[in-house]
Amino acid sequence: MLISIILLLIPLSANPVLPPEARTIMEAVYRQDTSRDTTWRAVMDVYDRKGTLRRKKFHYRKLGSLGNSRTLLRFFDPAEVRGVGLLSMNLSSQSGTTDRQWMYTPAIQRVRRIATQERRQRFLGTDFTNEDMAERILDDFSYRLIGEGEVVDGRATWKIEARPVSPDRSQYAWIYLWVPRDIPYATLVEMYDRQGQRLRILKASQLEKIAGIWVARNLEMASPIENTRTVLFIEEIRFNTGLKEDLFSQQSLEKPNVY
Amino acid sequence: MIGAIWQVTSRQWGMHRLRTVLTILGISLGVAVLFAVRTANLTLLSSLTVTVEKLAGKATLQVVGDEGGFPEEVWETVKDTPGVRVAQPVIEVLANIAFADEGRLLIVGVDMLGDRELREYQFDEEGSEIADPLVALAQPDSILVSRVFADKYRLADGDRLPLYTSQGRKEFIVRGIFQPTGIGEIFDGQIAVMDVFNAQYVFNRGRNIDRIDLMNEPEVDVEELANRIRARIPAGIDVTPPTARGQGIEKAVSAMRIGMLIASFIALLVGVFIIFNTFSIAVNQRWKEIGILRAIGVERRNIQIMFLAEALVMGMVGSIIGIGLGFLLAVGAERLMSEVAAQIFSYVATQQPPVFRADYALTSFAIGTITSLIGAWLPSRAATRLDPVLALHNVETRQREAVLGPGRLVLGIILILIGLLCVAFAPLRVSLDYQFAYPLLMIAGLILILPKLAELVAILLRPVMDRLFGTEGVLAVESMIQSPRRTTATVGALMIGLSFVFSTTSYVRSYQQTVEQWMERFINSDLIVSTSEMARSRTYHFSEELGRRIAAIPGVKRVENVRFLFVPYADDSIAVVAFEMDGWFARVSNPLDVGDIDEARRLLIEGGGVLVSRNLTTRHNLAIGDRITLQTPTRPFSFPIVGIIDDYTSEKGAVFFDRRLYREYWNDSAVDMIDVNLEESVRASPGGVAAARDRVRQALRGEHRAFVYTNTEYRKWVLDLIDGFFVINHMQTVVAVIIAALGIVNTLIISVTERRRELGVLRAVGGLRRQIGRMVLLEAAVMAVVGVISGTLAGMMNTLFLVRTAASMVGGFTIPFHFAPGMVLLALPLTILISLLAAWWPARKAVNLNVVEAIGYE
Repeated sequence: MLISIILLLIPLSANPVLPPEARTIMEAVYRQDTSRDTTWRAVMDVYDRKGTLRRKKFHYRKLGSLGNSRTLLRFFDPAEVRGVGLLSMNLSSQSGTTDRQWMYTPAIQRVRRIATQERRQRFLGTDFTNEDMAERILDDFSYRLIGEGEVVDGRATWKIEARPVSPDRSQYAWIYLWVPRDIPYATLVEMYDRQGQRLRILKASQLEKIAGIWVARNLEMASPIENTRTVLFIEEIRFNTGLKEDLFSQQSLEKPNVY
Repeated sequence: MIGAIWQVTSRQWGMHRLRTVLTILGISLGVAVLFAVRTANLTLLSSLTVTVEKLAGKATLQVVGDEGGFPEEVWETVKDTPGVRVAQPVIEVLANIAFADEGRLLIVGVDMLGDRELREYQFDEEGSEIADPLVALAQPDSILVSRVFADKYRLADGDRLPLYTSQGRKEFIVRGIFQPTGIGEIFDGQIAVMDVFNAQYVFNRGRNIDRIDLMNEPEVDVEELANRIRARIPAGIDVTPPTARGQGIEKAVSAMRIGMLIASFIALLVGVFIIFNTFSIAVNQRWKEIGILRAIGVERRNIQIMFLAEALVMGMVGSIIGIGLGFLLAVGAERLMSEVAAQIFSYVATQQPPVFRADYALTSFAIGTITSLIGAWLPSRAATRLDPVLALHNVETRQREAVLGPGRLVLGIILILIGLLCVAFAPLRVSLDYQFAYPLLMIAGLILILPKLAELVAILLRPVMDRLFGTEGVLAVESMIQSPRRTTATVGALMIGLSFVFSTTSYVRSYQQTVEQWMERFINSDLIVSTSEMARSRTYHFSEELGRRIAAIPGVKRVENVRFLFVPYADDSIAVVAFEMDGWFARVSNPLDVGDIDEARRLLIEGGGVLVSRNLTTRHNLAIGDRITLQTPTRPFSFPIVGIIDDYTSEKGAVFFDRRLYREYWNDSAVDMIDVNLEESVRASPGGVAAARDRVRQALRGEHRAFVYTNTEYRKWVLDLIDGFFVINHMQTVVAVIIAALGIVNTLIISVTERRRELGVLRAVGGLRRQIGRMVLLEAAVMAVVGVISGTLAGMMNTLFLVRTAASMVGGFTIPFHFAPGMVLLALPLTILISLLAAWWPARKAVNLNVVEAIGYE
């Protein structure tokens, strides 16, 4: 879960001296996270068009690397959603990536598989769509360097255009990513549809290097057309704590106190 | 020549405006009923299919099981089938809200995470999303309602909505309001959406779902995908396009539609009589005129054309008016049919405006016009056979010659006998169209012998009329005997109208009496707790927990849970009734009509066999020892028939077996009815059963929407439901009687005009105005009596056809003949009253005749 958020924000570790190829920059982005497992505690604020705030707090665990990862997300606040769990398994093979997601609802003690066929649909009312939540692999897009030296949040960046290799498999016609030259990390991402409308803007801030891995503590996904936004603030993050595989199973998912 | 003839015709119409109007009205009403029923049928079908299609959204295929649903694991299989783009599980429940009006609400359980891929939900506030989807999913009390429903009950986001669920009364929180478009249009906006898994939980569906709606990948052929899915899912579950499901519903309500269509044809048949009546009398009235036309060289063929052209024009005008009137009637008829569809079959409809079908209008127009021509055919033929010389002779003498031939009498008797023999002996496999000819043969025969019958009745009535009313009474009877053609036409119309009333009522009574006897034999628990005030609820069920709760009430000895549903069988559906066999056998003295009782009891209690209804064996040629094989959501259910019972649960046939078997094979614990048996002491004490019923009601009040009946109340409720089913037929009979009454008015007006000379003479020889008026009224009364007598005979024959042939055709069972004499006794004064009212204006006309002018008439 939340794989693509991480994916887009993985810092670039390429050598910034010579202008690299766009794909090289992105390869670095994808490969930056070398951790075996990740643990977060985060707050998610969802603002509707009237500015009304809905806040949720959750724990997040990830095991494995891109293309072969499992995640477990468990809400613990507010009380109405306490214990709700989301389990995600992302498995890559030669035939492509398989995403499977399950949700556990403690009130009826049920695990359900989440249907995510409709990629443009919002995920649980946030500004992230199902496509944003699914794990992407590097080869899903083709890349082109279209700008050098644009300054974002005081940092000179590479501006990269990413276009889906299979246009019918993405709601986006193209995506612009701004990756700081000094920190290999996509700090600004804009996503456009076929009509050229800017559907979403993702901003990453409060970047920190923890255990050699760059992390943005504050992520904001905005939907300018709908005038809504979702802000994710990572309160606590740890890497390589020795998470066990059986934590990422349906049995664990059904235990609301496991996170 | 034609122009000259038309002049004659138009002059006649001008002279007899009222008669013309009444004749046209008779055709109009007949056509109106026919057109209304067909249009209402179509509109109902459209309302039902619109519901299915809107519920299906963009789905190109639906995976459907029987009414018990199927395990949700099938969803996983379907979802993972290559070529499936989207697959969403659905549960539908027609529930009731726990507000004062206990209004109905169609609850659609969907996967709220992905359902919008299939269905259109337009949310309020400029298309904003559900306030908090995660909370809506996480909380089982979440519900989304339509704007129409929210407005009706003044609900806003976050408000509480109490609902009766299988777990009792539960409060839900409105977490979204969607606009009355797309899914919001269904069931006239009385619709709500909740998460499918929450719906499973609160409506006791276990881990079952009702169906899966799915969309194919664009590059995959729908039929090919359907086959692919069929190969992966259990045999009892089918894959069909949503439109096919609509057709399935249409099939389920077909019994109602066929009944109504027959009734509408009867109304039209009465219309034929009015035409026949009008033209018979017109021919007689214009005898002299025809003679003159013939004398001046007009050919026979042209005379016939003149009358047929008149009938054609009247038929066309009447049909056009009838179509307009019918379209208006269709609105009301469709409402009634929707209500019956909901009450009896538990199908919800989304109100649609009546569909005007040009082909229906054209057919009705053609039927109305052809009917008019048929009605006018015999009189017009009589007109062509006129010897011009005879034109100067006495009219009544000629009529008698024309109407009372012995050949006609013999032919009439033969037709009646053929009809009766067909009803008694013709096999069921004879096609439906031919079988409908049986009552027509009998009616035609009766019409042929009607003049003789009227004469006989008149002879019998003469002394009575003499004693009661003196000379006027005798003259009234004589007048009727002297005008057999006129009498036949009027009495014929009345006969058909009344026969329809008598036979429909008798059929309903016969059916009710049979069901009553059947219930007395099989429904033997002290109290019955039902999920619905309707025949049954297809979608709303109790949980077994409720049974346990009732069992704990003081005075209750034992409760037995019953599941009742329809399942597919041999290209149709049959009823499955699963209950606790040991308890049932303990109370029923001799339940089997065929089979070894001891062996059957043992096998049924052990779960080693099934009981079947006799109509199932008739329909599917089954016998003891044959196996009934049903596809279930888990595996094929195949058990031998160990007993056959005369049963009226369903016209399609029924299978009965132990509830444990049902639970095992269908993986479903739902309960539709709870049989409650009381302690002996409670049953024995005066008022003990009613008190126990009240205790159960009290225990469930405000918690469960459950209908608690004593055994007697339950039986009455079932009989009332049967009455409700026939309500539209009853209404159609009323129209038939109205048409027949129009016929009486028509006839008597003509009669008075025709007898102007005779009445003038009577006045001239000292007859008082009062006496003349009384005579006309008494003639009407005598005709009513003859109408009731002949109507009774025709009604008995029709009833025989209905209880034997029609019931066998529709339900596979015959019903013992029961004809209520009380109904005839009730109809007699009513018919006389209607006749007297109809005769009032003609009588007044007769009273006010100018004596000198009248004597000079003809």
